[in-house]
Amino acid sequence: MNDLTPIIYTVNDKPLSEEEQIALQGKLWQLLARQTDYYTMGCSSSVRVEMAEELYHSLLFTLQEGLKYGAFDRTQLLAAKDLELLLREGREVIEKQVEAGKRLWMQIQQNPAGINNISYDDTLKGLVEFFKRYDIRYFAHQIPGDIDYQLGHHVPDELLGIEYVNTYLRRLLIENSFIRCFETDKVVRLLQSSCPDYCGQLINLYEPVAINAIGLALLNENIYALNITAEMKESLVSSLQGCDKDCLSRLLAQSAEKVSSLLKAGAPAADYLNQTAAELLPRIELLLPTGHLDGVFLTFSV
Amino acid sequence: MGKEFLPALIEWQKQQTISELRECNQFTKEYGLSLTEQQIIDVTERRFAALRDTGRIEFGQGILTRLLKAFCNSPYIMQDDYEETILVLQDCFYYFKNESEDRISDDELIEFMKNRFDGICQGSLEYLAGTSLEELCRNTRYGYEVDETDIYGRGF
Repeated sequence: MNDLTPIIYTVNDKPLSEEEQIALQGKLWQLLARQTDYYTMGCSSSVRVEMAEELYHSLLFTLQEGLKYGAFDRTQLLAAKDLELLLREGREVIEKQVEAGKRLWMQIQQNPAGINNISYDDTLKGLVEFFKRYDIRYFAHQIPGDIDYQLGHHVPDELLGIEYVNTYLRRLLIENSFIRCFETDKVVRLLQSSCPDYCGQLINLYEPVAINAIGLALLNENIYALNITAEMKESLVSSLQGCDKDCLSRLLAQSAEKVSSLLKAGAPAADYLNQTAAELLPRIELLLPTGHLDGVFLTFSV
Repeated sequence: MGKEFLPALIEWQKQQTISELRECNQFTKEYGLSLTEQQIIDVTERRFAALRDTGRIEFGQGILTRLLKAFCNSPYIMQDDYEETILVLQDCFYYFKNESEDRISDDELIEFMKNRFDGICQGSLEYLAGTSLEELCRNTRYGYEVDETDIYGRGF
């Protein structure tokens, strides 16, 4: 992989020519040399290769964010004799993202899932650590904090630093808002059916709720009940067994839309639920021939 | 860091180092010490070998010219063993920079090496590397005070 890949990726409308890459690489070295000098406070002309790599990735990430959010454009990047100014502009973009991240964290505090889960609580504490320890200047691409709680839809590993964290927070906020649409008692009963130790295990709280809501919408039942009885599952199996892949996909998408409409979900939340429904398709396809959908839809056990 | 990054950077730095060493020769000639063109190339190659072996990367002027300027007035360095001494000092520098976990600045380490080399080590590179620098790094890591005096409590 070429070192300039992250930047090219952002300006992929027109890939950099070889000359442009060489010119940019030279400027990146100069920037790295200066950054290393700042980092060691001028006390050391050399650093470990691992440290240089971290500093370099941070520079690339900062410039990438600047490009992505329009602080400067490709022409300015290539024309700049010194990237220091552009780096500063990239940092300003990241600073704004950090502020946005803090606001998202506050929103999550104000809209908690309302269900006890150790990994969820630890992750919120880990995110506080992130905002305290996040180093925009030297390690902007790093995520200094423990994020253990599993989301229904994982944040892509390609995302780095504050971008990863903000995407995580946005998704967590969507999941929390979704869970809060249902009675806590019913959510707890549903979670107990899927995992008796739902408080202590590293599980996602949103997914079982979303899947059962979609299942109930498929059956034209009350989605707020959250319980899919054995009879309902039989009915689901018999109604879905004749469907091909396209038909199943359409039905799941319609159910997700129905749930979103009933919950008055905004566009990001509706997209998120659609994604959950889409991911159900291979699981249902696999289980339909067995005549059971127990592994997908849940029945209250208590 | 990508595979292409280090070799290209190193090639660029080698050219820089060679021209810096040529300039440095002008300074060290006053002390009767100079490197031939071949020696300059050898020392430069060894610089990058030492960096590679110690897993370090260096920017800017690097440590080589600073080492040369610091040690050129040592009474224990002669023209005949100048190149060999510089090569060993350079290796020692990067090795002990790592061993001290980067807690010692370049200037401090060079100053310490020079004081010891001219003092207790009396020009012995083995003594410098085997005892004095090991002790310095151990003390840096574990926080003991460095005793820079001889058995009579006198400083070197």
